Amino acid sequence: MKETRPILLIDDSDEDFASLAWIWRRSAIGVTLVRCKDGEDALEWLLGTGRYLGRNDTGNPALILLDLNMPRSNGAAVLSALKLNPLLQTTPVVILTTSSNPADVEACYRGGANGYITKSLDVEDMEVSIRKLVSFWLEVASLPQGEFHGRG
Amino acid sequence: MSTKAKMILAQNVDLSNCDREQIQYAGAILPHGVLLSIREQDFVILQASVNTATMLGPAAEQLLGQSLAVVLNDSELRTIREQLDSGVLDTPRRAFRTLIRELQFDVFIHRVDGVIITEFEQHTGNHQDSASLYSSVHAALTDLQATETVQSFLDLAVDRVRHYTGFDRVLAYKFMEDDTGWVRSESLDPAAGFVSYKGLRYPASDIPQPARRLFAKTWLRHQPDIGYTPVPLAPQANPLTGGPLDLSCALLRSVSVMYSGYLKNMGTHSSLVMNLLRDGKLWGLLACHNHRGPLHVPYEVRVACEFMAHMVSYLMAAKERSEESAYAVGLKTFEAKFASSFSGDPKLERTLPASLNLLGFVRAGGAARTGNSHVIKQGRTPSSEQILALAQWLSAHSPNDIFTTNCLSSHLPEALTYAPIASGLLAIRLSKTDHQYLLWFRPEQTQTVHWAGDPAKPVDLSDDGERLMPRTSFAIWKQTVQFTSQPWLDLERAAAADLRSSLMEILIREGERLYDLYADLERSRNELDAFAYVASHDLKEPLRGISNYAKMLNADYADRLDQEGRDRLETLIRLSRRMDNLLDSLLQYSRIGRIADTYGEVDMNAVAKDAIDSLTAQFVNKVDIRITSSLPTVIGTESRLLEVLTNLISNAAKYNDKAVKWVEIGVEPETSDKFCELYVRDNGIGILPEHNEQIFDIFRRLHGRDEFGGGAGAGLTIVKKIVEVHGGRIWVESVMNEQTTFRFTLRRAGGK
Repeated sequence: MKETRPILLIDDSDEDFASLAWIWRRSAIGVTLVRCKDGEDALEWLLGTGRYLGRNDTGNPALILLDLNMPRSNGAAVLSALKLNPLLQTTPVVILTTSSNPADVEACYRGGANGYITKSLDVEDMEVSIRKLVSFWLEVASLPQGEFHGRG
Repeated sequence: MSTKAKMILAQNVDLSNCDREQIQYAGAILPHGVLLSIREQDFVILQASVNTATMLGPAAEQLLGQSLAVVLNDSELRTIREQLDSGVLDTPRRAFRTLIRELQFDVFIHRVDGVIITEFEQHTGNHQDSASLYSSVHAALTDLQATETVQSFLDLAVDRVRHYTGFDRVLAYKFMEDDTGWVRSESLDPAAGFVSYKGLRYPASDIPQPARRLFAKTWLRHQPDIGYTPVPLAPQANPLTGGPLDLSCALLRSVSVMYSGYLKNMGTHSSLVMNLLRDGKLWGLLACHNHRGPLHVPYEVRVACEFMAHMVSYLMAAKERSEESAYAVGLKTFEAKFASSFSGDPKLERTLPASLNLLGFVRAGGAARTGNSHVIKQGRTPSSEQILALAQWLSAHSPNDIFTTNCLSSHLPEALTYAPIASGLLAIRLSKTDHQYLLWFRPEQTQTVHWAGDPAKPVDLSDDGERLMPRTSFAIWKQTVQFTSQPWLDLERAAAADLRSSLMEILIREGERLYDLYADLERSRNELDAFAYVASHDLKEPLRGISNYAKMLNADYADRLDQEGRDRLETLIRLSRRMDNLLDSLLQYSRIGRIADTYGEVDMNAVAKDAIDSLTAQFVNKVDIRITSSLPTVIGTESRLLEVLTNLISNAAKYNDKAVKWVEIGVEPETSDKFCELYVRDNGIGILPEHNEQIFDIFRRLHGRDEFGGGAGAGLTIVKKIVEVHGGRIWVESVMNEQTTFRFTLRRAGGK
């Protein structure tokens, strides 16, 4: 079954989002890239609450890309919020971050992350990684079919 | 208690029992007067000296049982009665002067044992008139007040007393804490040509305890003629008590045979002795001697002398107190100076400047300060070895912070060898564990005593007759004070304790300050690592934006840019990459100390092999990398040690322009149980000695950025930090253009 659900990017950096969007366009990735600026924003979008009350959508995204280094609640806290929520915990989360610190890598997997990619300085290298990532999760892997749980 | 049986009277005393001689029961009087003891209620004569016939007319046996009226007239008897009624009268008071059979007598009365002792002292009449005596005493007191030191005060006092009395020698004699005596001052008739006694010391035994007790009772004692024959009392016993008459206070009391013997030996014919008191205690004596013949000091002059003695006592207490307080102030001043000279280093040997003059504290001949195994000496002290041994002995044997002794050899027999220099010791303990002390040494007393005569002249102690001579006494004193110093004063002990506590306070304060400093340093080091980590991390984000935008621009708009525009974009991307490398190094460096690595045993052979394997691709067929000996197993974190070797090997391989390049990894033969010394050697370009330190600085490059394969310039910094975090050290040895050897130490596994 062809995956049509969007991929959610949780990242506060507009430049990184612009780079990813550029890669999306260049690689003609077939699913929508939704971007939330921080964890609170993302949780509201995912649960259809707050500003996203009545979001008419298809349910959980196919994949969540999560940056670690964000203002307000940091990436690790967002990861744990996602993984502790029964409505969200089955959705794979791939960490997309600046840090190459082995301690961060270990902590993320321990926290339930499903993948860990270091943001490359070279957008073209990054494009290669993203292509492989999307190809694996959307074409190779089987994903859970989450119910739509927005309230409206 | 049968005191009678034990009584030793003046007639049968010798050296062995003189300390017990009960000289107040002399049973006899001096011959220049008459003594009658009378019953108070009816003035009936109970006892009489046997010389009444020559002085008063009637023989003693004729007087006994008679009323005093036989000798004195009614008005005189009334005067005596009035005086008896007016007071306690336990010391002689002159009642009046009277004329009996052409002889003038001063009559003194006082009470003792329920009787009245009536003394008739013959008055010779050749005395200064009272008015001129008064004015000269008055002048003397004014002069005494003006003197500055105790010494000059006493010098003046003895001079004036000699002037009033006409004695040819007057001594001011001081009793020391240990009851030994010291001639502090002397006035000699310059015409007489006598040997001076000034500065002489006497053993305590020279003035036996009974004498001292008697001194306390009367201010003045006079013996006009030492060569006298004592005049006994008849009867010997006081009829009212059945015991001997107590003559303690009697003016005419016959003195101890020991004392007259002593005076005779000194060649003295006449003496007058006055007490000097301080705070109610016997401080010393003013002793007058006449060598040229008997000398009877008339009553008026004696009154003046007694008044002088009172005034000297009073003024001298003030003088001494002011000298003592000046000394105490000096001790305190030293304490303040000591505290301010503190350099702020808790290591004591560095704390106290060597220039600090310890001799500015208590009176001492020498001082020293000991530390672990070093001694700083000032003044006259034992040798450094002796001082160190002494400090060790103190650590082991004295639990107190302050130790004082004026006879060190009685505690520590070895100290006999340096007794002349250090019989006295005052020690302040600073730290027991490493024998840190401040020490002050006092020389043996005999070393300090100024002896006016010839100290080398031998003294024969075998003959008791010669025993009581000043020079003999001095020799005996020398024996009794052998190996002792002048005693330490309470004042000095207290000052030493104060000094110690003020020093301890400083040390504690400094210790706390250093602890705080260390904590601050630790905190800021951690903060710096955290900062480097966060900063490099946060700097990466905008950098990635710059780089990505340049890339995207290049990809999307390259066709719209000319070659120059494309080159500039390339440069932008290249610079971003370099900055990224720098940030990576900084991150890596900051992680070394920040992340607590787990330590274990690491086989350096395996690490070296891994390092070579990881570098082979880079240097394959270009460099011969070899391990020259079997490497040790060390304590460390394998991944970190791999970083060390990888960095060093790749550096060695890179900075090499030889046709045949090689790198050697090896270990020096065992240099220590604890550490092993590994090395990485190459036949490369070498390093100038002036760069031996700089090469370890972060981002320091000695070559162009693109020479020798480039790099961020943090490799050796990271290597150094890893080695140091492992407890080792790293350094470089190099011969320019020939070879470079990096040496580093690591803890040996199974080492002690």
